[in-house]
Formats: sequence, C-alpha cells, structure tokens
Amino acid sequence: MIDERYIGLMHAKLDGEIIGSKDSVEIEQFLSSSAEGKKYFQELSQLFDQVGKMPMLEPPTTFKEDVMSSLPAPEHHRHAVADHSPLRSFFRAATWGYAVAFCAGILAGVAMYSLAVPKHAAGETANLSGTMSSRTVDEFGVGGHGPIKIANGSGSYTVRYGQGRVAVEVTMKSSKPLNIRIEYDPQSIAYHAMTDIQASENIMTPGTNFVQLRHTGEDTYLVIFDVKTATANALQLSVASDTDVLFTNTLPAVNPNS
Amino acid sequence: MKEREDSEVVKRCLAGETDAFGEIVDRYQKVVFNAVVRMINDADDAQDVAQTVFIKAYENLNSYNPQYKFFSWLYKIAVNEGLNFIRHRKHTDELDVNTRSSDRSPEEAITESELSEPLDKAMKDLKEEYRTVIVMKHLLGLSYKEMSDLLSVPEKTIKSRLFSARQILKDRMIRAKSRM
Repeated sequence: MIDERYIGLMHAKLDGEIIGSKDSVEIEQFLSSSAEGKKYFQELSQLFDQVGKMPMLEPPTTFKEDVMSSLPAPEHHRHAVADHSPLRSFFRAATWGYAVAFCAGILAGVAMYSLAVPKHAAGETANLSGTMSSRTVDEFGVGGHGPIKIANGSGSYTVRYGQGRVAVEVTMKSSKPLNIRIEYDPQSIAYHAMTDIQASENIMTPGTNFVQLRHTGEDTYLVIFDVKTATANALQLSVASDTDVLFTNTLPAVNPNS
Repeated sequence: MKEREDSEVVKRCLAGETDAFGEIVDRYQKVVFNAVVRMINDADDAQDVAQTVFIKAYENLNSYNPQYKFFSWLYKIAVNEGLNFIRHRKHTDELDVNTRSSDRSPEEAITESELSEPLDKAMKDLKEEYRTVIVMKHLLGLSYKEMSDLLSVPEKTIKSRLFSARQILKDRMIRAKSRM
C-alpha cells in the first residue's frame, strides 16, 4: 500500500508540478527505496506515454472555411477594442490635473535616479523581459560555471552576481524535450526577469518559488533574481526529462567569494 | 515566437483584418477540435462546438488581455464550450470512428490504433468530470491552477479527479494488456 502523499507526488512529478526541492528530494528517495512505488511510477509513466500518443483526429477539411464564413463583419471590433495598457487606461480615466501630476512625478523620479544610480557600462541586452532591459549583463560578475552532462544532450550553466541580484545563464542542446527548472526560496529571493536569448518557442512558466521552462533543441536562457538578504538560501537548478531528474546543482544566491 | 505571432494576429483582427483570424484557426484547429471530441465523445457535435469556440474567440477578441498567452485563453473558451455542450446534451453519441485519422503512415496508424483502442474506450467510459481533467491536462497542457480556476473547484479536487481518472485508465490498460 503506497502512502497517498507519495502517490500525489508521483502524479505531480509527471505533471511537472512538483513545488519545492524538499518534495523533489523526497520523491526521488521514495522511488529509489520502494519497489512498489517504482512499479506504480513506471505504470503511471507508461499511461502518460500512451495518452500522449493517442491518435489526433484531423478536423474536417471545410473546418476553417466554415469558421471564417461565420465570423461577424469587421465592424464588430471597431468600437469595442479594450485597451489593456495601464498607461493608456490611466490617461483615459484621469483628469488633466492627474496627468500633469503624473508627468511631474516621472520627471522627479528620473532626476533622482540619475543622481543616485551610477551609469552602466555598454552591453544592453535587447530582448530581456520585465524591467531587466534597463540593466546590463556586464554589471554581473561571473561567480561560477559548470557543464550540464546528460544523456541525449549537453549544456552549461553560468552564475553571475550583481548588486542585490543573481543571474543564471543556462545553455542547453538536446535531442529530446527537457524541463529546465530553477527553484528558489521566496522568503529571501524574488524572480526578476528572464529572457530566452534566441527568442524561440520555448515557454517559461513562473511559479511561486520556481521558474521552469520546456526546452527543445538548442537555446540559451538568462534568468535574473533579486536577492533580498545576504544570507539568502541557494538556488536549485535541475534539468529533467518527463520521467527522471537528469541533472541537479545547488547554486549560491550570494557570491561566496565576496 | 508563437505567442508574439498570436498577439500580432489579434491586433490585425482588431484593426478590422478579419482574414488574419485564419492564421489562428490554422494554428489551433486541430488541438481544439481534438480536445472537444475527447470531452464530448462525438466527432460531429465536436465540429460544431469547435467552430463555436473560434467564433466566440473572434467575437470576444477585444476582451483578450495580451499579457497572457493567447492559446490559454482560447483553450479556456474550448473547455467552457465543451462543458456547456455536455450540460445541455440529452443523449450521448458514440465517437465517430469514421473520422479521418491524422497525417500518420498506415503502419503507424494501425499500431497506434491497436495500442490506443483500449485507451480510447477507457477514455470514453470515464465519468465526464474525469475525462475533462484528463483532456485539460494531457491535451491542453493546463496547470492545476488553471484547471482549478476554469472549473471553479479547489486544486485539491482537480488533483483528486486526475489521480482517480488515471487510476481507472491505468487499471483498464493493465487488464487490456493481460488479455492480449
């Protein structure tokens, strides 16, 4: 009889929803020590595989044509375009008084920033997401580097440290899909931004205490975290297939050499 | 990047370029159609429901927030439409076995058919709430959280339904294998 908690963890592992390195370690230990658990996990993995291979039916050949001929006239959208831009929504809703106050605030902020923050060196990275585009990768000193050796693939990671930040760069080349994941302690670290250097279709999923992406082919990713305290817990980098963890490493969140 | 391309297409549609929506249909018709077929167990009705999904998506494009992934938004419409259909259905038809299979070689199709037949049947026999979570997770790739939001039930319930559904499928597959 397998404990329900382990059953839940086995499902979560195959679903890519294991949250926390503690759970990850616990399930690995369970699978390596329980023959019954291992058998259940293998059967479950096979089921995932079979469901994934279920034949996909082809929609009728007229499907697209039928949809397109049923769409309402273009005028439908003309007067109903919702604007999700926070800035435009603000100006649309605010009076001119608010707008003037807002602009004054921006100018004051820019002035204070230019006085308080030293100028960065060259090397702006163009396609970084979030607020990272105003930073430079050059300001992060290299703190660690290592290979990622797995079956059917290879790669490397580099850890860089900046002021109050840590950046993890992962390069992977693999013939099969992989899940690249970085777990962190949200008490001491906050996710800041991430970029997929080659802007491919690999998609990142941010969680409450991890960032994860489904990797295929060859790509390089850069993830930046804000480090809140000098005693922040380490990051946990892992590379996994759908069934097994292939590589793990602990990366200090704070430069051990500083 | 697919998400970026989707956002561009949405912008063009909202600017009045209706034909651009054809790109969205091309990109997602297969997965939406298959998700609906699996949910409602009827290929003919699934065609109508899947078409409704795209028409509703087009009609509501102005409410799509580009901060989120377009396909997640579209898949949510698909799940809702599937559930609406199930709620209103008075009878359950058999899955149309004559529907054309996809672009696989005959050998692959035969092997896959042999392998997936018990699974197809097991899927069809599942309770609707179990089949829905299997489709949402395995076909549409939604997270526990997304499924919970969409079905308005706690994540704990989603996990419980998924585990039970998989247990049933697993047992039936083991039984089917032992008979082969």
